[in-house]
Amino acid sequence: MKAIYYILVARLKEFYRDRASLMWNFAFPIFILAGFYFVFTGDPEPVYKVGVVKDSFQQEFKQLKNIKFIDYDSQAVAVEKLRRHKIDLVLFEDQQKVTYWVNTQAPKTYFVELLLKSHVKKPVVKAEVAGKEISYIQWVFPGIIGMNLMFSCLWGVGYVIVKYRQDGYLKRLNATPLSSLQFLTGQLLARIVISIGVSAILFLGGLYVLGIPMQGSYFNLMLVFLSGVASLVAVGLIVATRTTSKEFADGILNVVSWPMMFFSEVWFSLEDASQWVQNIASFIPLTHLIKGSRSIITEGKGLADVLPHIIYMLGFTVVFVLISAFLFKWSED
Amino acid sequence: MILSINNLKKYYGDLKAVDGVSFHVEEGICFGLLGPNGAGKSTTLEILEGVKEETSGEILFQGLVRDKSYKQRIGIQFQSTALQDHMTIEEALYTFQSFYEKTMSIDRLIELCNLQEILHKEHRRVSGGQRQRLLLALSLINDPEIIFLDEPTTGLDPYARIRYWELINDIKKLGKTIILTTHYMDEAHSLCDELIIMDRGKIIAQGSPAELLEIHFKERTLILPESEKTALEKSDISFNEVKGKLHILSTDVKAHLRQLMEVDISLDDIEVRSQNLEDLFIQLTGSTF
Repeated sequence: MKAIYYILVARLKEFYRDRASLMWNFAFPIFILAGFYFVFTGDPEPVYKVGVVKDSFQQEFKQLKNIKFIDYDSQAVAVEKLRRHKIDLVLFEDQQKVTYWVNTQAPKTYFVELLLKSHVKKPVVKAEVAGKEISYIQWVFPGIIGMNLMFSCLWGVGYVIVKYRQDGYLKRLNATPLSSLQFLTGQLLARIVISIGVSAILFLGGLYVLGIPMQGSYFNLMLVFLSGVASLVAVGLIVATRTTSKEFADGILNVVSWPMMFFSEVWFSLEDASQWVQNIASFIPLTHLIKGSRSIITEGKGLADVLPHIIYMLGFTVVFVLISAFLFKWSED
Repeated sequence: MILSINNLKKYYGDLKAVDGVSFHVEEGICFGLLGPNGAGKSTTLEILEGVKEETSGEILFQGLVRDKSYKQRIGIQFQSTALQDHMTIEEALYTFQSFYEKTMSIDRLIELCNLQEILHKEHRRVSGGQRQRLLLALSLINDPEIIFLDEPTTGLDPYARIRYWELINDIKKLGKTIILTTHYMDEAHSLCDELIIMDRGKIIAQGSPAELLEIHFKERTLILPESEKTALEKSDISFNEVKGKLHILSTDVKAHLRQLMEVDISLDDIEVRSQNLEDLFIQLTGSTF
């Protein structure tokens, strides 16, 4: 235990003292978040958006300024958009009456409803839906934390171990009684501490600076992050087991990380993607980390909902760590 | 005997890096492995350290086959060792101490290896000599019975080398057995009680420095500057060119000096000296390393 403790502490100190890497770990996701924040909140938009099911609305209402009318063929699609706060009200007019839907959790709906009532001559029928708003920044936020964890784990473990090997540090450690399991455990724990620490700061920054709401349990989120970090470290370990060149490791890590990023719903949803894409995505641990954390943060899902993700990531970790321990070589020979 | 090596072999395909080497190391001595590049001395050392596997042969530590406890009882200084970036000298000492069951006190190591002034410096920011002293301290951290040093003074300035030798002599006084490879014959002469010279994976000479010189050399060497080469070629005196100087091996120095004067060679810059390990090395291996 003492040896693991010292390996852990040494790695933490090395991480802290490597200012360039430290800055990169914090600055990179902050830049991305800031960029998205400005991109997605900076556009001038109309004050209200009203979804119209079939083109049959009151002319008087249409002439109102600062309201954007969007046509929908399907009532269900329009109502779902309302539920997600993409629009503020849904309208449907037939011969006798006007039916409209409001989102009881959307503040803008109230004002659009007042406008509607004062301009529509026919009798009105009101229907209600409820649903909290999920903005893109909220949606993408868990993805960015997940992506940052992925880069941090792959390079912070995979690349660093290859560097140790190339420099000859692993050879020196191999000459001591330190076992590979002790060494790898120390590395794994150090990376978990670093990753959770960095994620916690980013997460709290997102909550308090960007105002992203947290719907679920912090404990569940921690479980998802811990199992996710472990599974991503396991990917890093596989890359590091025998690779002897830093440049080669860098290349391999890029080859691994970029498809992982695109197949794991970091930036966009794969809901409408073809089945084979979804099959690939479901194999990648980052997908489970992001889906799990996203469902906790944005939808407030409970442990039972995210448990399959946690189990998959832990299983993935065990399999990949065992393969890594089996293949691990200390020196270049 | 603390180490007995019998018919040790290490093959890489057709390459015989170590080819049937046998020797014994007595406890408490400094034992040298000498040889030109590629002779197999570092490979032999790494097999003895347990970081490389032998192809065949027997290695006995205190008469027994080495077991898991061997790593707890030996100390190693590689030719080049990297440590974690940003690690200070003190942190390196405590980190390596944590790997062992039995350890030497850090305070004693700091004093022995004279690390007081650099204790809080990063290991990358100290001089070559200071760094070698740190690596030696790391090799001593478990109070080992044998210390393996692989070309420990390569790249050091003369002053740092002499200080390192003093340190090795201090460690010898603690009763430790030291096994050393080196390129420097003066280092081997100064530190080693016994040595082997290897070439192409085999031992070509073995004994104490004094014994080896006694066996191989009866002559003294007369050394002349290269400018006398033309004159010397006109005489029937045989000579070798070594590092830009002309070497004449002589069992009768007086007679040789007379001969040189007869062919009008200036004796102003002549040097007469006994044979040393370097001469022996050159004679045996044909290499001027």
